[in-house]
Amino acid sequence: MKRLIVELIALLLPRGDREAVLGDLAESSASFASSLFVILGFALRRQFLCWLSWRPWFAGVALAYTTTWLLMGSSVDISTSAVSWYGGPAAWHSVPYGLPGFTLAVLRLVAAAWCAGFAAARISRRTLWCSLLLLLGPSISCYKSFHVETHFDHRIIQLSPFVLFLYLPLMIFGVYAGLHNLRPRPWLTLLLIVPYCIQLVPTIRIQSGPNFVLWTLLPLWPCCYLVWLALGSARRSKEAWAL
Amino acid sequence: MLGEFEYLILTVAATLDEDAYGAAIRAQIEQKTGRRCSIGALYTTIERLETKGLLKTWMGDATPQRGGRAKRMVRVTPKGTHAAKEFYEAITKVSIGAAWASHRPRS
Repeated sequence: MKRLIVELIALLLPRGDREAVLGDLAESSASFASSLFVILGFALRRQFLCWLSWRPWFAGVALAYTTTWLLMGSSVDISTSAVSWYGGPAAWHSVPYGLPGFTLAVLRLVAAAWCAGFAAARISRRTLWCSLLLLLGPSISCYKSFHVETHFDHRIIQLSPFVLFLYLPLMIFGVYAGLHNLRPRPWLTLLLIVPYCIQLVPTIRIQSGPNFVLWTLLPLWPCCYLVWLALGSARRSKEAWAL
Repeated sequence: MLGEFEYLILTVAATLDEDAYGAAIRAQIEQKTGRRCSIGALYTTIERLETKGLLKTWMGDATPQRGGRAKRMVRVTPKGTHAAKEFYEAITKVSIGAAWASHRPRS
């Protein structure tokens, strides 16, 4: 039982370090308490050293302050449209009119969520847990007070608060790609990002006036980062990984 | 220039040669200096030295004595040898004339 606990705590360490540390502890016949102390101390020391770099601060704070609100907003937008169409055959006549906007919103969510997960994993792998916590934080805090209704055909449809997390599976996919150093090909990157920009730029232009370039670039930074990586990779080698 | 602990690790790893791995380096440091050496400090310093190109590490064979776990083997690179030599020479030069130095010049 004690060994199992030690091995579970050791999961806090990366695989190579875990193997070496557990072996060293076994070799020196360290006690249970001493093993726990050593492993926790090592894990804390590693984390502390990571935070001396700019990377975790940038990944965490920049994502939390820019992308997370966009992800939540897009998730709610898409859910509202989808639920109103789900209202019944009477609603289906409006589908062709709303479909282009809906498709763009879905593409925007895919691009934003995938790029955010990818950027968080690529920029600071060891503090990914913190970046994800900061990204999910606003959604978690809004979960309890979430109350969005959509009206259709004299009916009120209450949205589930889980729609706040609609971006999560796509983000996990992005995190997976970032952790495994997978990158989409440049054309696929542009396909992801162009619809996102097409919808975002006019919206922000209307809302923010002359500073719209700055306010567009801020939430778009994970996408810009992806483009930069994809183009750099394409220059260096034509054998870029397929998504 | 190296830090004191970095120098200790490089010197002990060079002395142990083929047998240089985490637990052995730690035991040697504790034995020779009489000071406690934590596993966390040892491995984070080894990682830093590897990033600087002064050490090379790889996973060795697993042994029953270690509960079937692999050793993290360590080898000093030529750059590491050069850095350790530089540190040693600087410390030796600086120590000449100091009361505790065994080879201080006679007045």
